Amino acid sequence: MREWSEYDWAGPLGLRKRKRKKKEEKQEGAQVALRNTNSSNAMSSSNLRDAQRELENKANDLSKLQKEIAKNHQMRKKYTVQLGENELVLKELDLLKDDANVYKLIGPVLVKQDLAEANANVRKRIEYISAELKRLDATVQDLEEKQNSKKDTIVKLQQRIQSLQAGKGKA
Amino acid sequence: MASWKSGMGLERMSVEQVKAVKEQADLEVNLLQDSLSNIRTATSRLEIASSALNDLSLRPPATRILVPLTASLYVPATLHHPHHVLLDVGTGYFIQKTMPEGKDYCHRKINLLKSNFDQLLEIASKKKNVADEAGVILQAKLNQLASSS
Repeated sequence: MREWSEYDWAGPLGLRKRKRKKKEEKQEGAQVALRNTNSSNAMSSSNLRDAQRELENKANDLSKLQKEIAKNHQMRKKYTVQLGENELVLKELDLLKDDANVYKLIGPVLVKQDLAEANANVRKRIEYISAELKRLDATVQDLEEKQNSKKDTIVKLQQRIQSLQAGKGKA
Repeated sequence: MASWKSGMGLERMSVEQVKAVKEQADLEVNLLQDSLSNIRTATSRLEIASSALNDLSLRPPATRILVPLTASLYVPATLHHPHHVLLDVGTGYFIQKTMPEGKDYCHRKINLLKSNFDQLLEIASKKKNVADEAGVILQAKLNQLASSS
């Protein structure tokens, strides 16, 4: 009996509730956007509330963007470290004579490897990591541009809310 | 000269801006300090490796030694090739080198780390100066605000 009720209340019903809430939020957002374009000059209290809600939405978007940028930075850091390590290895391999013994650690086993092969391998890895770094740079730049435009819209929204509040205070 | 200029810039900023600058500088100082301590540990490990190589090169072949399998478990073994060593150069690659080459490798790495350390130390001290300056100006501004209100 207990199991059944748990299933009934916390399971699909709870999930459905959450889903419905999300849907409502989305619809509300769309309506807010619509109403704001329709009557941007009207200074009613409902308009103010709409603007505040929109500001909240925009702030959420901004924090999401910032999180993404932070994640990208972390990835960049990881790749930079790997690039440095690979470059050190390459320098070391370049210093070796042709008949030097090179081993590669695969799992718990050391496998003997051709020097030329190892060299090519490390070079390929450096190439890949450099390309990946370039790609990450482009995404970070893109995200930062988006963040700046979001910040601008937020500042504009805040100004509008302030002016709306001032208008309401006078009336 | 540069710090004097940045100090003048800071004095013209608002409290919030100075605060942001200070926080940023503090963050960077912490990051640099972490890097410095990492380099220090790496250097000390290489020095340990170097001294171990020195130690090993002094022993004749067929010396009885104890090899640590874990921190508390040692197994007896005999030394077979004291003239060759395997060096872990990173990213899973190992290179067989002779004893003098191995020592040379350690010394080169230590020197590289030392030069990096010195460079980083310089940058870190500069950053620390900037952070301190920002802190002083922030304090002054806060005091001014408190006395004026």
